[in-house]
Amino acid sequence: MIGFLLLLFGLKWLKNAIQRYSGLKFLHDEEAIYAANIAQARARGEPVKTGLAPFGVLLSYKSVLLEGLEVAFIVLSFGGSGANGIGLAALGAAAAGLLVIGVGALVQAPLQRIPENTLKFLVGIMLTTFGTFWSGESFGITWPFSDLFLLLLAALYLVASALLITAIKRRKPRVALATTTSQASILSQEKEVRS
Amino acid sequence: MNIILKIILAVYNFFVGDLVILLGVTLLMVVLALIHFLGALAPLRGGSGIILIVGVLATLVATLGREVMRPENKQKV
Repeated sequence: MIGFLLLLFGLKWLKNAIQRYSGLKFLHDEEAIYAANIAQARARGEPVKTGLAPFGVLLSYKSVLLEGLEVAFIVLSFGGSGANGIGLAALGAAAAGLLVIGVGALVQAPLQRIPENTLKFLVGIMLTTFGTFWSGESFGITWPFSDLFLLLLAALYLVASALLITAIKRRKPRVALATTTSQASILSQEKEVRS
Repeated sequence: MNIILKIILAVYNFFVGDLVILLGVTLLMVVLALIHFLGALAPLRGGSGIILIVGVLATLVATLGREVMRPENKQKV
């Protein structure tokens, strides 16, 4: 069950990351999206408020809650894999939470430069790797080199993902172009409104 | 929409949100369970690891293939 859940989450994350790298989906650029929305509001003649909007806060909270629940399920999945696992996983998750909040508060600016999609891609690789490994163990598969096989699996999924990204880009070269062009048009639209 | 359907849909979207991944991984688990528990399929047990890895990769390829074939992505070409 644990391996099954991790595989579901892992493949979902990996699929989304590959789609973004290959141009089938927009790369998340929060600043560009915000700038485009502000530009559209100004173009419609709507006043742009800078204070907290209750609806926006509620919407953001819902997104964070859903992402947080997903992380909670991943922690539970990892924790359920051994004796005292839940306690250790909860402790690890709490420590990681405190560390992330602390580091986030201290080095906010450099952290903003880490590409979001790369992080999601690596998480997808890790989840799929652990999901495959533990699913196999639950069906009595003895992996060669024991736990070291995790590294081989991760490398295999990394190479396979890279090949898939290249294949999709070659098959649909103009998709990536269209993505870039759309993003550029958002920015140019903003410039037009300003000028 | 019925409230129960909404709940089922929300749970589905939360866990997977992709039918190909759900079916692919479920099918893979069923095949591995059959190989593990059925005596008649015992000769395949040695290749279970390879079946699992190939199955995971095949699921990934299938779900990405479906995205590439979507009409909105085809129109971009």
